[in-house]
Amino acid sequence: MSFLSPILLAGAAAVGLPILLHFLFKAWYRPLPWAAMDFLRKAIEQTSRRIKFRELILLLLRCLCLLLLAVALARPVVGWRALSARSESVDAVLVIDTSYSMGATDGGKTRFERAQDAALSVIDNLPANSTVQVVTCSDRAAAVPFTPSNLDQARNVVKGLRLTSQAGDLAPGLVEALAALDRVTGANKEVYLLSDLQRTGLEGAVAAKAVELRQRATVYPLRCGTPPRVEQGVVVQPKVRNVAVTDITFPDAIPHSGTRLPFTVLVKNTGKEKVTNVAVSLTVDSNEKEIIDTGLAPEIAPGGTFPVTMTAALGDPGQRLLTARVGAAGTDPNGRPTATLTQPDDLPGDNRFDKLILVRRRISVLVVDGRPDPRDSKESASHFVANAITPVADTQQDDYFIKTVVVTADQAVNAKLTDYQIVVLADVPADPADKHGLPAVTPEFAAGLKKFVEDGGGLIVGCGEFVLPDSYNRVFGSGGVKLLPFDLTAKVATTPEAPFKPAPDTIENPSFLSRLRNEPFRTAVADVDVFAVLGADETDRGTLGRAVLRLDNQKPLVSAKAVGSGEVILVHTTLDATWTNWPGKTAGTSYVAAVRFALSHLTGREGRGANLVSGQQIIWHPPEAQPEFELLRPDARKVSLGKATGGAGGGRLTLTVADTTAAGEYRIVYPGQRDDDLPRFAVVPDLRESDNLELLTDDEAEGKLGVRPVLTAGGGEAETIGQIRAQREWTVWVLLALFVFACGEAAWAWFCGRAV
Amino acid sequence: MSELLQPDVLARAEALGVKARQLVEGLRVGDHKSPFRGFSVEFVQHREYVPGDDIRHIDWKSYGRSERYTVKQYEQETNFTAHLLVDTSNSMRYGDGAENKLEYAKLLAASLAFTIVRQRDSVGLRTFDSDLRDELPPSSALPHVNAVCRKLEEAQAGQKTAIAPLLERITDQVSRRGIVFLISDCFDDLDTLLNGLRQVRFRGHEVCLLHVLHRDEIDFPLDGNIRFTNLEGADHLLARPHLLRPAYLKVVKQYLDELQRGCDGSRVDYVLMRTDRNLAQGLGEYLVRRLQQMRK
Repeated sequence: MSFLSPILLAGAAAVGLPILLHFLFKAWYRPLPWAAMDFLRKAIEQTSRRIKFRELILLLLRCLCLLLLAVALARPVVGWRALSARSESVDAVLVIDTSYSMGATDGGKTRFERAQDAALSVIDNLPANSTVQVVTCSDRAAAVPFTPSNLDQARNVVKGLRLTSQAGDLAPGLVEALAALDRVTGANKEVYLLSDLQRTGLEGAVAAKAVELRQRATVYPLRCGTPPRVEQGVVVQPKVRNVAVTDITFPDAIPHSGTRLPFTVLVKNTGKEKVTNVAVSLTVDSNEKEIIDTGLAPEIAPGGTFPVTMTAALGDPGQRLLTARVGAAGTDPNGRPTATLTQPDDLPGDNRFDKLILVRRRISVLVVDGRPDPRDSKESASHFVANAITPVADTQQDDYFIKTVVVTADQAVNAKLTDYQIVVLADVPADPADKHGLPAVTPEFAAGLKKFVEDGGGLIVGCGEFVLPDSYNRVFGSGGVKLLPFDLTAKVATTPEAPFKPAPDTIENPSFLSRLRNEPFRTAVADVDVFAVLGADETDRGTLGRAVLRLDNQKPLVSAKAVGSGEVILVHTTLDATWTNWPGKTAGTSYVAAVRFALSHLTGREGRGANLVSGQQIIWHPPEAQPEFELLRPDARKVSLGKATGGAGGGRLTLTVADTTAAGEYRIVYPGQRDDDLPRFAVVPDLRESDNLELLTDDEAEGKLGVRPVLTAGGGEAETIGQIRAQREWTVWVLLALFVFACGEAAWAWFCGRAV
Repeated sequence: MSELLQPDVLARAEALGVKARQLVEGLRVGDHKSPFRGFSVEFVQHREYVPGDDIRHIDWKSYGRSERYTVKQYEQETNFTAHLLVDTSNSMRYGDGAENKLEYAKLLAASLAFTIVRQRDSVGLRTFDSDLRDELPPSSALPHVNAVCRKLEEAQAGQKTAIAPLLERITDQVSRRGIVFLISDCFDDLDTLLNGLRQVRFRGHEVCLLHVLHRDEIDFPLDGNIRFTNLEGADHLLARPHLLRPAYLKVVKQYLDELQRGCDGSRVDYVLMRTDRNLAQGLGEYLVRRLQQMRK
């Protein structure tokens, strides 16, 4: 409980008055000579204790009356905590949900527009001398900086708010609201939560933070949008049609120039009703006028995902931004389906998906063969993997976009690794002493490999008889350059009659081998025989390695580890047919596919850091520190980033951008010019937001927040809040109690005034 | 004529008279029965002759009828002596004007003295507080009334009340049986007072306690904040009388009841004389009651 006029609480000091009078005041007594003193003395003896007791009760009642009077004058309220010299003014904090589900159209307006209207209505109806703070809240929250006492500024701030592409979570907003409450010292603190009250946004720590918030302020949840109905015990959610572009994939493709590349745009129906004729368009480098291809999803069931396959010629090598949009389907003059930019659903925030890819002219792979056989190349350790990397006829090798160079270990030492994107080590000894007469890698080559991987290169290591665990651990593992996902342990072998089998269910998901979990690869992979593997020391969790595929005996078959900007893939068996029949299997297409997935994965890493989800930080390491950088945002606004930080003591320069609230393309540029050599970043919406569009019912929201939401429909929220605010003032009740006690005091005084 | 002798009171008292209800021992013939038997006009009884009796008193007629020696006895009538004991302690000062307790007591004593002397009986006066302050021997001469009035007029309130010592003194000094009128507010220890009255009664005196109280002391109709200062001491009490009234009335009633019971037990006439009540009426009622009791 707090008070609107706390200064008047000082009147409670008047309670001391009757107490002082009771104990200190000497009444004037009329003198009277009296004879019957004995009678009088006996009468006093019989009545004095009773009289004192009654007078004490009378004193208490009088004190209570004065105290209640002081409390009534101070105007007590519940829910308003801190004390201040100001009286009725309110320190309001508007927590406005800016997650993109607020962009859903609901009754002619979007939920966000309703939130803005409600916020303006709240500001307009605040008492005089009030302050306002605005907190925007998605899965991150931030207080908008402006002068809290300037309500005009607050109105402009509210009008200028924009939706983000982030998922909703009220917890950060409540934390920021608590911080905002700390910044004001008024008596009446009110927090307005303007949100659609989406179920996913009120999970986690929201309930606990709401309790903390209610202890310090009056909380008004304002529901922006139609609430769910409960009909005969069943919750009926408001209808929101929504399809979302969830990804652009090219799983077995390596983007390269000169050819059309197949892309799959995944479109998901997150609404509760099926959608039909959803058109998808694909553009490159944000050129909306030049649609590369269009596709059509004829029907998508609720919760279902439809892959729309399209092709695109990516042109010159370099970074390319692919943009997929969903729209209502139309037809061109020839009757072919086309995609228009007409919004096909109620929630536009996830209708666009951007992906940056690195288009290469040619991929160079260096295959180091540790067991070359000049007489029969099929017996070489590199034979199968080299063929899987370039699965074309010899006559087409020169025209193929992947160039494979097979060398021995001694030749590899002299190779210039920067000319390659991927290096494959096929059963290569780590120490010349391991296999006398065969070349092995040198420590210098191992160090070069480490730098190669850290700079973004990919490394595939295949095991075999020439790979001795101790030597490998000492050179490539924890004792050396730390490239191995796990330190190797002793060889584990079995008989041909009882081979080990890969377990597709153990494939890490998501991972570059995810597609092997599904047909047609799943059966083929499960049918592979593995006769021997090198074990992995998985006890050391500090290596950051992970098993991507395991055998049925739980030994890793394929493991991986990210090192710097690159990645290492370790195959625990041979890359040839020595320890496994995977390459030579009749249905060995799964081997080729796995190699292709690995190559696609390793070559795609370079563009992976450029693809972010809204809210993630952009981190870029510029080569030099001199220029000051600017950020060109998707909404064409430029933001100064200043200079890169760090770089001292051999460290890398770093430029960090935290504000990636809007989906789209971000470019880091020098001031005043656009430099295509500078990096680009694609930010996509946080699809968790539209994956579950369920809203909480009023009862559920009350359970989470402790307060029943007020519907922001028709501007009635201000009136409702006014009523709630009035109900929180207890002055009337205190005055009523004062009246009752005063009557009691009068009655008691009359009773005491009667003869005892 | 003294101011203490008010015609209306005297007229009523004189008309009723003060009759001794029991045997009194007087010095001369009067209206009241004497304990002594002898020659007189009113035959009482015969009794057996015993040697030593005067043979002149033998009833020869009776001897002739019964051949027994019998002696005739006659009742002797004599006058009585009334002892007026007037309390002049400080507590009797309470009350203003005619309602002053001491003044009322004086008026009462004077009226009684006049009435008694007028019927040729003797009356004596003693004023007292904690001790005997003044004394006037009994006399039946009419001028004696003036002497009594003078003594009463001269009497001033003095010290604390102490009735019992005076009563002891009476029992020691007065051998002849008479009537003792104790006029007091009786603000003394109740047991001591009753004990003293019993002793007086034991000596054969008829005792009448005329309890003089002010209406304030009986009804306690006071209000406001009052500092009660003790008329017979230096102490005081602060009180709001309206809060105490029921308890006070209870205490007073209890006291009066006990006093009444004590007097009844000792066959002492108890008469409550309220100073706000007309003296003629109060005294008249008392004398009427005496007459009625005598006739029974």
